[in-house]
Amino acid sequence: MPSPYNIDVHYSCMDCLDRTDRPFCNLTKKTMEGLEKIKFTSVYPRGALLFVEEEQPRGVFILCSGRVKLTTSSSEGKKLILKIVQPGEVLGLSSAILGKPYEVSAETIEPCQVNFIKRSEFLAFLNEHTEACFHTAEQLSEKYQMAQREIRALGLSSSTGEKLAKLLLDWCDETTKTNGAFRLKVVLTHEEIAQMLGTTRETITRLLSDMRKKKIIDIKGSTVMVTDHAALEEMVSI
Amino acid sequence: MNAVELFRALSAFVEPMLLKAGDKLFEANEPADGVYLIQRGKVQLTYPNAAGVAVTERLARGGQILGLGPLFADRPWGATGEVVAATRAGFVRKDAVMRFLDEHPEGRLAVLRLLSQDVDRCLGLIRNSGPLISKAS
Repeated sequence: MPSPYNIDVHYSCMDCLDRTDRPFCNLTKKTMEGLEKIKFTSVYPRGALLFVEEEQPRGVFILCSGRVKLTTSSSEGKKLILKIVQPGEVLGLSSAILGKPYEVSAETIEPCQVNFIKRSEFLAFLNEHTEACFHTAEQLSEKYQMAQREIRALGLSSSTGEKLAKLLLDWCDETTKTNGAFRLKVVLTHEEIAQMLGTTRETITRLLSDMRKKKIIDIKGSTVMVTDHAALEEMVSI
Repeated sequence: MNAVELFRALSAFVEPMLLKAGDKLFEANEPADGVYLIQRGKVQLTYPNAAGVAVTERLARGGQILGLGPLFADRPWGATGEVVAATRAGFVRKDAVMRFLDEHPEGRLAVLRLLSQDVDRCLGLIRNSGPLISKAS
């Protein structure tokens, strides 16, 4: 069936085959029925802003498919990408619970399906469903740990090359492994990678080129093949 | 139930302890099997790293609960908690916390608010760390 941006849209969470693998969505039938009643399904193209830093919280956004980048502005006015959010995560949680402005901005980096829940209805849902409350606590705890890791990295004096190697290693997993190499579909631009690592686009372009010359990686369009995983590991000291 | 009421309610389950400056309440990467209630004193939460730079997340004072994040994420401690002034604290085991929250819906929302504050505080710290980020790059 045709759908916007050619993505497979699931209008009913009950029919979603991925929900049992997703910590927040893996709810019992009764709780899921409660969620179905209050969520609105939307589809967004790449580059859509779900919410922006300092905006009053309207609600929470469950990312069903696609990826979203979370950004913040440093006190120096520098844009930083904090995280690339994967499907299954809930965005805007802490602000919605506290009733405080969003701390980050969320922008789609590829076409996404998002289930939106209004703040007042989400809070009532949490009040009514114990299970949803515990799943939300788990999500918040994961976000806390992610932010702690980010803070820990702030104090590091590691080189940008080391940080880039670490980022590529983070993206390598069993699902990307083929014939001993890792095939990474990189949807981020060099500018966006630079914003993740707190550096410039030119530095990222130069470092990727250096890695390519040393045959650590190979680049074809938006695909990065990590051909020498061990060499990347050697570049990372922590 | 607000944070103060949650603290009071959980205090019924504590195993109390007295600590002096320099004592470690917990260390990063150690298993977290409960929460600490800081009844009096000060505990500094820091993230040590390989470069030897300790980044302080916050100074926890009397009335604060430490460890909700690791408890719900089922992960080890993310930070080290070091006592910086004579402290009276209490430890509540994970099973006691979960039992309490099962029986008290209002406590669950208080926990969500505390966890949300932890997330927001960390994000604020990241946002205000421009000079550190520049230095690191």
